[in-house]
Amino acid sequence: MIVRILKQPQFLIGFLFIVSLILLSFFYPYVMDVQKESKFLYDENEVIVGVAPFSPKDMPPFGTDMNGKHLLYLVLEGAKFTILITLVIAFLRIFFALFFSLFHRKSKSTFFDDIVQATLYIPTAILAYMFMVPLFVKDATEPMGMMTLIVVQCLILVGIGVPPLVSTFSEEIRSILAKDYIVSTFSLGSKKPYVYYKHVLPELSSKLLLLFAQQAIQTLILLAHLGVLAVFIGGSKTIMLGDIFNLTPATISLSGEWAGIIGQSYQKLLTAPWIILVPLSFFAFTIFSINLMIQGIQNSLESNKS
Amino acid sequence: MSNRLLEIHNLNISFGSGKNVFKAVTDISLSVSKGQTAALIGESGSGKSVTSLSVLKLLPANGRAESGSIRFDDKEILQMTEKEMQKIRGNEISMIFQDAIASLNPGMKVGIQITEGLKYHKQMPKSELRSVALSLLEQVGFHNPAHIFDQYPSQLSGGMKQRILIAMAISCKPKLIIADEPTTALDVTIQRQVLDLIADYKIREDASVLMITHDFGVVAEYADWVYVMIGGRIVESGDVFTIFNNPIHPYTKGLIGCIPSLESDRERLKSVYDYTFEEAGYRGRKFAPETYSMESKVYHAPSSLIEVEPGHYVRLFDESEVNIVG
Repeated sequence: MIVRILKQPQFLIGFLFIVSLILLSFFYPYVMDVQKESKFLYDENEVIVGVAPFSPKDMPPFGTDMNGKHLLYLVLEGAKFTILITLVIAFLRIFFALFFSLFHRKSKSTFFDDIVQATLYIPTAILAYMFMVPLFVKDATEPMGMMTLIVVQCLILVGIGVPPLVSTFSEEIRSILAKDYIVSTFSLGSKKPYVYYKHVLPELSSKLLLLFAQQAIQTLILLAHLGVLAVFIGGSKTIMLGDIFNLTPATISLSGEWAGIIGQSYQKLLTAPWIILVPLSFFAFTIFSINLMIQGIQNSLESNKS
Repeated sequence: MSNRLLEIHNLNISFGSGKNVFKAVTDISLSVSKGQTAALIGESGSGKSVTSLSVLKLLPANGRAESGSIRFDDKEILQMTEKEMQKIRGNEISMIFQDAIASLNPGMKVGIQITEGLKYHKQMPKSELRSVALSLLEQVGFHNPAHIFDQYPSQLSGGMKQRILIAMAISCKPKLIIADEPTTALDVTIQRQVLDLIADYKIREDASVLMITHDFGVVAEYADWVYVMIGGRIVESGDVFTIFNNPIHPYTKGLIGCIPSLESDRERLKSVYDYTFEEAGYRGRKFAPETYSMESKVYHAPSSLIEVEPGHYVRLFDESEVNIVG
């Protein structure tokens, strides 16, 4: 099946974009001539003619942020955190949801389904915000380290996504178990673990891939929303911007993930829109790439059916 | 020890819960003797398949046996745990399903599917599993079993798939085969092959068969004993000769009357609904239930199977209730 999916051009384009982004994120210092900061712009007489932020026209290709950091390097640096964290969260959501669906489907559990359905109408960003704010309070009083914070934040984001998926998987598994060939297998004396392993999981596998991609998109959108709410994965610190006469506090992301770049500068949307638009565009292109991969998987499944 | 392999007594099966309970099978009693074929015949929705699934305790999640008993080889099936049932399914009782297309996993090679029962009930190495599967494929009439073993269901015709199902069902040499309309989706020439395969197995292994069908032609050729069902109840039962020579219940008469005859004049083929219930009833008692169709009104007054001659039973309304006729 994997080979069939890899033969789909849409899947391949999306896959290559994301893989290239991750690889570049790790290895760009070795392949590019890196100049990460340009705080001032000088003319030919070495006289300062401009101060950061610079637009993409002044400082190609993407311009700089308020601190003069090149957005190209910022998004490349943040890509590994953003994409890998997204993929890990999506994977864990699918894994835990599948685990609970397989081992906790004795009854139809309509009560659980009703609760899940009700929570679907609450924006996930609000839910995540509610759970993460106490975490920041705790981190401020008893610092827990960036990695610990990332793990706990990821677990919160995983937890938020699991209940609706459990509901989806349970429904899917119920419909597979009602199929005639499953009854036929049971009529031969097959045990449940065998039926799940040999019949249910293979049937579910194509849907798992699709759901994984959908979860990755949802997580990316959620991260972007959290960035606007100044909730950054890996925590934040407050720095003072401006000169000694006009100091303004600004919250910056410690990990440098894309949502952090958006969150720390969204007040500049009107004066320096590129600072927001560049990471937003990378979010959009990543989501577009995942959508292409979904399309490729769906095409492969369709051609398999016919 | 009795000669009866399977005995069902006063079995009641319901679906749903609370106010939405639907009685699919009411007060059914039947038996299958060792080495014999019993046919359960009736229209779609009469409860035949539900009865057969209850023998394997494979009713859908919302269905349950409310009361009664199912005894197989002098063991009470309804009291058995899931673990005990797993030992019986496929090994002592197996089932051939009517829809061969839906009953085979489309994503799994048919050879692997044939070995599923063997894996549980006979401990044997993988290579031996394959050779047993190949011999089973040969038994059900495939001339190139090694090629068929590696095929997916979509690569086989309807008749071939049905034969695969038979190979699966007989893989562990069960004592009882439940054949749930095994020929419904097949053309007549293939029907014959499939039914002959089941009959051959029955003779070869001295097994019993519970044949679920709506075709009296099949019953006439393969069954020893007949149970006629309508609306979840058995309305007539007897040995195959008695039922064909002296059908008493109007529904049985209707089913037999539907069989086209080469000798009769060319007129419109009758359907079971062309046969009305006789007002006179039988010996002063009305036939139960009152109407053929499950959608139409059915009298729920108490009724029972009355032995009208030795071994021949017909369902009539109870005397003490309404409907006593002159």
